[in-house]
Parts: sequence; structure tokens; C-alpha cells
Amino acid sequence: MKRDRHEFLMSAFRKAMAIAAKDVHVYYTRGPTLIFGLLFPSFFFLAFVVGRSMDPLFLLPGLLAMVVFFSATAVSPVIMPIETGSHTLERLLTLPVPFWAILLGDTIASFLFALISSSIPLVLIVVLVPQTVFTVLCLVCVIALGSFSYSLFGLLLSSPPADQPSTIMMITSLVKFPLIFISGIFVPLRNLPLPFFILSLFSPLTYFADILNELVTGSGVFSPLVDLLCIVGFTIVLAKIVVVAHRRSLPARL
Amino acid sequence: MPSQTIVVSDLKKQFGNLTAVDGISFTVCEGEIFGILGPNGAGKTTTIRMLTGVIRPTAGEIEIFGLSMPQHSLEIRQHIGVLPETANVYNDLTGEQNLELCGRLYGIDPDEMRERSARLLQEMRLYEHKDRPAKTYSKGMKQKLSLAMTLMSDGQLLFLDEPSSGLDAESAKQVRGVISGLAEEGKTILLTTHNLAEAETLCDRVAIMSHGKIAAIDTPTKLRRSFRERQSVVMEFSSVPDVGALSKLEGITEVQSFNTRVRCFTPEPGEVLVRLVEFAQRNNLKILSAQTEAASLEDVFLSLIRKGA
Repeated sequence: MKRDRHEFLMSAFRKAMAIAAKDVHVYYTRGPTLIFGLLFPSFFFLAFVVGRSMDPLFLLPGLLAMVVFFSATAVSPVIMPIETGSHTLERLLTLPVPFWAILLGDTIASFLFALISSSIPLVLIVVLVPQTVFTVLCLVCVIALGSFSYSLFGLLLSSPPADQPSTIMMITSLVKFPLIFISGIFVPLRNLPLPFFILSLFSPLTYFADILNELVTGSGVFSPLVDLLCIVGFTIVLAKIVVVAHRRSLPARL
Repeated sequence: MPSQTIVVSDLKKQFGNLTAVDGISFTVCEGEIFGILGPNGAGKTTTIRMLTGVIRPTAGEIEIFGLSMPQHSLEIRQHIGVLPETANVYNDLTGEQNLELCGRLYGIDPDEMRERSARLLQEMRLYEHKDRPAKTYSKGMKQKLSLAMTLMSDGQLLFLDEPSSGLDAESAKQVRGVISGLAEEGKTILLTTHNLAEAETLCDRVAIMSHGKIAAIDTPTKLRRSFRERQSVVMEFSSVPDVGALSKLEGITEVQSFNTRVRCFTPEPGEVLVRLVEFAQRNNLKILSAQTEAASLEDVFLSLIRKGA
């Protein structure tokens, strides 16, 4: 029984990887992915820092957090609307693949995109700010965890049964931009007014930005353990909500 | 007696207040081609979606290969192939990549997958286009690629939703040829179609659906025979007959006139034939040809749909 379960999970994982490979091929070069995943965070960052006297040491973790957040939420929201419009989702649903494995495949594709995108700011950090090997390893693990978590977040934002990526991208922009301002990326958490600070505690981005600040500059507000627990907890809750939300909107997609 | 591959009992699907499928029951035997005929909105696609586990029924039971759907949907889907209504292929992937994606999702061994993919591309006459992205394919080529993706499973049961819809005559003929070939291999096929000639040629039995219900279910021949009132006598005269006088003849329910040729619908074609000969003699008309015809499947279909409406 246990062996059957193990074989089932391995088979589902292989199928999720096949879906991820398809997503990499089909969606990485789509306009919304490139605009929202690469161009937007770059220009957003430049618009915020050029001409301002901000400590570069403080900016680097913020840049890294933003690149991970934007790139992880650039691929996953695009997939479902396009697959709904082109009816390829219905094809996937008729194949012997558990529904959660389809969603996992989409999440993995988004996660890999975020990992690739974040390698540039990560290298920048390693070059500009001397880091121990242990800190770099911790950074890589935290980036991987954050990328996975925000890929799920992006997938959740695509749960309304739209068949146009632009509809979903509008929703994601409405959610993503306010989060940037209340999560300690450009404005340190300590400097936030009390109501915004309280609000920031509910943002999924706060703990990720905080742990990056702690690892790179030692200026985190919370203990790294608290940050990690919050990110892991947030990821688990998101994973469950994503499956439920997409299952619920499925009939309207067909 | 062949075993039953599909058993559907009192199946129902509601979307809010709309009843898309209203308590249908039927069985499909092993090796049979079973057709579901019906106008748009009759519930054909919803039925296929429930049978393939894409959507859950509101009520009723589905058994495929002796397993309950949707409780055993993954096991069942491993042994079926489904051609959805729209030719849903990945436009950015090549023909071969589309097939290989399906192969991987069926968990087929890589060597077997490549062999099967090449064979299907050749059968569909797409082999020379296998390295081109599907977005460069014509509609007919995409539909054939979609059918090839369906056949990657090598499943014993196939669900084909409007397999030749929107295809040109040549591509439609080729698709029908593939379906006939699959039937000869002993596959069980459930297909939906608008094309009555296709249903009549391909299907062992057909169910006519209207407003979510099955209005009739039988072999095409028996269905046609059972509609006695849509039998007809077709007669060609030397000159145009008086259609008004013809319609008044006893036993004739409707007259269709095509210049010198008339088609008289009647439940008693033998007797009406005699009356038509007498009518010709009385009106000095020469009979050039005469024949009786059973009801066509189209007549049966239209008659049932009108009754349903």
C-alpha cells in the first residue's frame, strides 16, 4: 500500500515535470511574462532609486526580493487564462494526471523562472557585499523557498476563470503593487507608520524581504526563524487554497 | 454477448438552474461505435465531459470498464483516449512535441512513445510536418494532430467529440477512415456528431439527444424503420403535377415538390404508390420513375428534435 502510494506520487511528480517543461517552452517568451517578470521590476527599481540618497546596502536585498516576487508571479498567472482560451486545459484534464499535479507543473515552471531571474541580483550581492559561503547557501535556499511560495501566489491570482491574460495581469497588478510598499522593500519596516506596520504583518512579502535584509545586512526586524516559519506556513496554506480555488473555477473554464 | 464497456444510469448535470443533462441512461458494448446525435445545446459535450471525468455529475452513475467514474477517474483515464470538441493542441510546440507531451502524461516508456508518435504522424499524414510548430498547421492538420494525441494512449475506449467538425471534405473523409480503422481493431468508440451521414455510416447504434434527454436510441436502420410516418414515395412525372391535388390523396401526410419530381410522405407507401399511379392516369401524366424510401436518419432526427422542442 505504502509502495503504491510512493509510485503514484513519483508518477504524478514526473507528469508535473512534463507539464513544467511544456510551460517553459510555451510561456517563458510570452509578452506578459517578459514585461511583468523582467522589465517591470527593473524599471520599477530604477524609478525608485535613481536620484535618491539611499544606502546601496539596503537596496540590494530589496532588489532581490522584488525580482523574486515579480518574476515568480509573472509566469504562473499567464498559464491558466491562455490554456482556458486555447482549450488546451480541457485536453490536460482528460489525461491521467491528478489536477494538483497540473497545478504543481505550472508552479514549478514559474519557480524556475524566478530562480533564473534572481541569479543576477544574487551575483550582484555576492560581488558587492562580502558574504560567507554559509550565508550564500542560506540566500539560495531562501530564494528557492520564496520563489516557490510566490509562484503559488501567482497561480492563486489566476484562479478567476478568465481566458485573457490581460484580465488576470490587471488583478495581479492590483494586488502586487501595494504589497511592494508595505513589505519593507523600499521603506524599512521600522520606518512604517504603525497602521502600515500592522498591515505589513499580513503581507506574504514582508517575511521574505526581512530575512533577506537579515542575511545580507543583518538589519532584519524579526528573527530569521520567525521569517522562515511564516514563509513555510504561508506556502502550505497557499498550496491548499490554490487547489481549492482552481477546482472551484474549473467548470466555468470549460 | 459482448461485455458492457460503459454503463450510464440516470445521469444528470445542472449548472445553476439550467439542466444540461436530464437523467439519461445507456450502455455501450465492447467494440461498438456508439454515436450521440443532437443539435447544439442538447447536452452531448456535457455528457462526454462527465464520462471522461472532466466535470462531476449532479446525480446518476457512470461505470467504465466496471469502475465508477469519477471515483476511479485516474485509473479509467489511463485506458481511454479523448478528443475534445476543439482541436486543442499547443500552437507553440511542434507536432511531434505535442504527441510526446501526451505520451509523457500517459506515462509511456520513451522508446515506445517515439515509435508510437512516428506511427501516428505517418497515419495522419503529418510526418513531414512533425518539426513545424502547430501554429503553422491548417485547421484540418490541427484536428488530425489532436486525434493523434488522443490515440497516443492506445486505449481500448475512445471518446470523440465532433471528430470531423469544421473539416474540409478530404480531411473529414480521412478522419472517418481512421475511425473505421480503429473500429476494425476492436476499439470501443463513443462519438458525438452533427453529421447524420457520418453517424449512419460509422455507428452501430445512435442515441438522439434533445434538451438534455435521450429521445431515441437504436441502430440507424431500426430508427429509420420505426418512423413509419416519414417513409415516402418518390415519383417523377413527364410534366409538373398539381401538388394541391396530390396532397389531398388518402394516406399522404406531406408533399415535397421538385419541379416534375415529388416526394410524398406516408405511413403506407405501398397503397400510396397505387393511388399515385391512378392519379397519373387520371391526369394524363407519364410516370418516368417511382420508388419507395424508408425514413432517413435526418428525418428521424428532425422529427424527434421537433417533438422535443
